[in-house]
Amino acid sequence: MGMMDKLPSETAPEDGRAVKLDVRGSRVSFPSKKGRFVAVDGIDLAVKEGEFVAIVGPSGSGKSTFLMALDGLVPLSGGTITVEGKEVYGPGPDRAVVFQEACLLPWRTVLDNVAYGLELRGRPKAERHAVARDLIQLSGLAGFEQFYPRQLSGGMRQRVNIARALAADPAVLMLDEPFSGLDAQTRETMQGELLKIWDERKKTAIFVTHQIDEAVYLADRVIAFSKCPARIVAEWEIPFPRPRPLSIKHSDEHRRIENEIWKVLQREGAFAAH
Amino acid sequence: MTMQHSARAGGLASARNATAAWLLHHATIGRPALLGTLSMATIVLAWQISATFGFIDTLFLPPPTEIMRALVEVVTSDTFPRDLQTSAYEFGLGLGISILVGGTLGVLAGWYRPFDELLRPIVIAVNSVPNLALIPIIILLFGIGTTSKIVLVLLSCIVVMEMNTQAGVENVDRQLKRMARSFGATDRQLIRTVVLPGMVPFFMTGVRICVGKAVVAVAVAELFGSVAGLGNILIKAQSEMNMAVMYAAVVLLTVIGIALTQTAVLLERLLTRWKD
Repeated sequence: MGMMDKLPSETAPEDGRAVKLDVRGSRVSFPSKKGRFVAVDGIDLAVKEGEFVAIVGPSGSGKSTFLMALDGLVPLSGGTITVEGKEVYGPGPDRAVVFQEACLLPWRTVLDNVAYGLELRGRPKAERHAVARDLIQLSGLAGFEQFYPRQLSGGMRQRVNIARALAADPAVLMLDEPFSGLDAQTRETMQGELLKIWDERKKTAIFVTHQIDEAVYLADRVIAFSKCPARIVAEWEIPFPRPRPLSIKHSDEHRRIENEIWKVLQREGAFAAH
Repeated sequence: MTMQHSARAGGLASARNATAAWLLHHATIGRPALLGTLSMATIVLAWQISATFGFIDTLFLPPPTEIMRALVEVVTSDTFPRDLQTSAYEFGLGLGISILVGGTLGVLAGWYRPFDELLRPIVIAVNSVPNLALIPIIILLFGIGTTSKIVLVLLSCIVVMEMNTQAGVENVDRQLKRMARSFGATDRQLIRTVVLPGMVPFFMTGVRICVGKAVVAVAVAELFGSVAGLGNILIKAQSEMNMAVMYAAVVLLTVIGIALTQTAVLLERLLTRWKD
């Protein structure tokens, strides 16, 4: 069914789409009491334009650290990261993160939170508000422009979080377990909402999660990380056509892929008690 | 309970329940003020009655009516505007400089570790000296004019503002700082959009504390030596053995102190409305 269980070095883009994000031999390590602690150990990854890649792995597997390295907030101790051919040395307007915690500025309205990235780049108020209003509309937050974060539910805050990242119009959108703090129902709704927004904008996206079903439902390609230090252990192409209704999560094929990924992660000791 | 009940019951019954709920709610809010007024009124009344029937020596504790009369006399006197102006000037300038200087030092100390290390011993020393005990020295150094009062306000308040502001800067959510960095914020942008707004709750707590401290500093410094001011009214009345005017001055200082502090509380709430 078009699924592959092979090493990443073999996955060269062959369909003519440009590689947006190219990671080669990336390593992240931190000094610790017992010498250097290696969090990410030699990851290669090429993400094509408009591709949605999900990274799964156990908690504490270094997948969030990997994402922070992609964002430039954590320095690499080896290897390279290039976005649209330019090497990454720090945060830049070509990337934006949807954080695990919504990280909204509590003293700002929804509108000014969404416009934040553009404001930092010195865009005039009228322009950034126009962009923000579009994304607020798209995220189903119309009518909440003047609300403050404390007046919103957890799900709505994550919508603002997503809208804020999209407003910055990055080449690569990075999402760090954005729904892990939500209850099961809200999480499902938000997965559907995210795909609706994504179908509209077709942003190159990297989504980190420890929920296998979430990864399979959202992504074109799922990559499994090993336990710390993070290495790629397997990857799968997800064959479902888009747009994807939430109901496909309950199809046999969906479950079968989930199972396969689960087995690989279990073999890696991902679910060992800790 | 009431809400659930009224939601189920229809028509008139629900309307009556809603009204009852509204009344109950407002009665609950109004009760503290009502009972507070009642207890205060009882004390004043007992005091007045005791004075009228000679239970207390009115030479040293004049009745409330007498103090009220003295208060009117003080407030309407020719010298009162000058006294009020003098104290307001000392309070305003002292507090203003304290907020500005203390706030700036606090932001710097919260942002640059070496600056904090440089400042720390001075802050601890100034904070540990009983400020009011310095009044005789300050008056010798700066005279009995307004300068000595302003200096005392500065000594009481700058350090408090510095400590609160620094705590505010240090307590700004790290995740918010990381978010701003991720969106490419420079140091200046990070300070302007995250650190300064984020420190407001701590900063405003500092302002509120300093308002109280500044009122005390001005009043007490004026008692030690002054040519004008609200404290001067009190000390002049003492030299004339005018008990009623002395009490009136105390009442005046208390009322002004409460009004200023409450204004600060209101301002604090206004500026931190975004908090839950």
